[in-house]
Amino acid sequence: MEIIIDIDDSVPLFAQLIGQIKKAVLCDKLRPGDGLPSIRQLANDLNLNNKTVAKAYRLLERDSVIQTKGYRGTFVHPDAKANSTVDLNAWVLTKMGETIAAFRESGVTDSEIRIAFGDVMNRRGN
Amino acid sequence: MPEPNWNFMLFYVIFLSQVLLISFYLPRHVLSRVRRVVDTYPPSTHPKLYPVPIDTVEKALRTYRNLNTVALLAGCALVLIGVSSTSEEMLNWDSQSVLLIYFFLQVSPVMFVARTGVKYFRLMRHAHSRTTRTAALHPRRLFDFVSPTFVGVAILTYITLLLLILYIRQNPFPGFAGYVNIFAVTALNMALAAIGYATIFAPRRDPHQAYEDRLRQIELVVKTIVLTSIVANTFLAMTFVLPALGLRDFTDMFSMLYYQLCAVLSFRAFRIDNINFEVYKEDPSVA
Repeated sequence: MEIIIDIDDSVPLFAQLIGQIKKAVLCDKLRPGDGLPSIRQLANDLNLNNKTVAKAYRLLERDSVIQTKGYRGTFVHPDAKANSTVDLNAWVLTKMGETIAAFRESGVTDSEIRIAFGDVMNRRGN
Repeated sequence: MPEPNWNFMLFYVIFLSQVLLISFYLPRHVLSRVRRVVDTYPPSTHPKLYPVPIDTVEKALRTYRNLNTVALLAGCALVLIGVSSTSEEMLNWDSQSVLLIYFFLQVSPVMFVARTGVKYFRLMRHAHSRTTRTAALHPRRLFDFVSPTFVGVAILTYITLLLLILYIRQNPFPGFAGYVNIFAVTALNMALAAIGYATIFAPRRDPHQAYEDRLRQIELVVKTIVLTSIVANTFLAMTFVLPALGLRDFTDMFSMLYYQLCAVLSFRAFRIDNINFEVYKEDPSVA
C-alpha cells in the first residue's frame, strides 16, 4: 500500500495523510491490526517534518482509526473501518450550522454570536 | 643452505593475495558491472540515471581505475622490496603500521566512489522536481531484514570480546591498552549500529529508486553490517588472543585476511544486477 501526497495541493499535508490512511482502511488495503510505519520513517520517506506526520497520527488516534502500542509501534484500530466513515470536522460544521441558525432565528446578531463564541472558547482555555 | 623462513613466505603470499584481491580483482568486477549498466541503460533511454553528463561518469570511472592501479603498483613494490630484504618487518619499519597505511591506500578508490555517489544522488534529488511524494504504508523493522539469531550472534561476539578484554587485563601482555579497548570496540559496534539504523530509516538517497529495490538494498546492507560486526569482533578477539599466546607474528597475517574479508563483504553489498532500471526512464508526460 502506497501513500501519495502532493505538496502543492491546497489541502494541508496532515489532512492528506489522514484522508489517504482512512481511504486505505475503507478499501481494505489496510486491515485491523496491520502495522503502520513509525512517525520518523514516514516523515523521512515523504520528506516531511516529523510534526506533520505526528499531527496526522494524533488525529487518527483520536478518531480510533489507529492505535499506538508503546514501543511495539502503531497499528490499525480493530474498529478502524467504522470509525473511518466518521468525519468529525463535518459533524462540527453541521452542529455549528444548526446552532448558529437557531441563534439567528432568535434574533441574535452575528457580532454577538462571534463575541459569545470567543468568550466560550477562551473560558474553556482558562 | 639456509632453512626457508615459512612464516616470512606465508606473510608475503597473503599480502600479495590482499594486493591482487582488493586492488585488481574486485575493482575489475566493479568496473565491468558499471560498464554493463552504462552500455545497457544509456543516457538516451534512461536519462534519470545520469544526473551528470556521461563524460563526467567516464572520468570518475577512470579516476577509480587509476587509484586502484596506484594501489596495485604500490602493493607489488612492497612485495618486491619485502622479499628482497633481509628484515622481517616491512620497509624495515613496522609491518602492522605499513599494512594499515597500505589498506587505507587500497580503500581510497572506494572512498572516492562513495563521495562521488553522494554528489550524484544530491544532483538527482535536485533534478527530481515533482510535487508528489510517495511512501509505503508498511513499517520497516530490523528483524524484517535480518534474523534475530544473526543479531544475537553479533551481540554474543561483542560480549565475549568485552569479557576477553577484562580477562586479559588481569594479566596483560606488553602493549595491551586495557579499558581503551572496551571504548574502541563499543564505539565500533555503535557506529555499525548507527549505520544500520540510518540504512533502515533515513530518507532515501535515490529519489527514483523502486520500493522493492530499496528493501532489497536495505536487507543486503543490514546483513553485511551485522556480519561485519561479527567478523570485526572476532578479528579483535584474535588480535588479543594471539599475542597473549605468544603468537604475535601471526597477528599481521590475520589482519591481512581480515582486510580481505572486509573487502569481499563490501563488494557483496554492491549489487546492481537485480535493480529495476525502468524507474530511470524519461517520464512519458515530459516527453
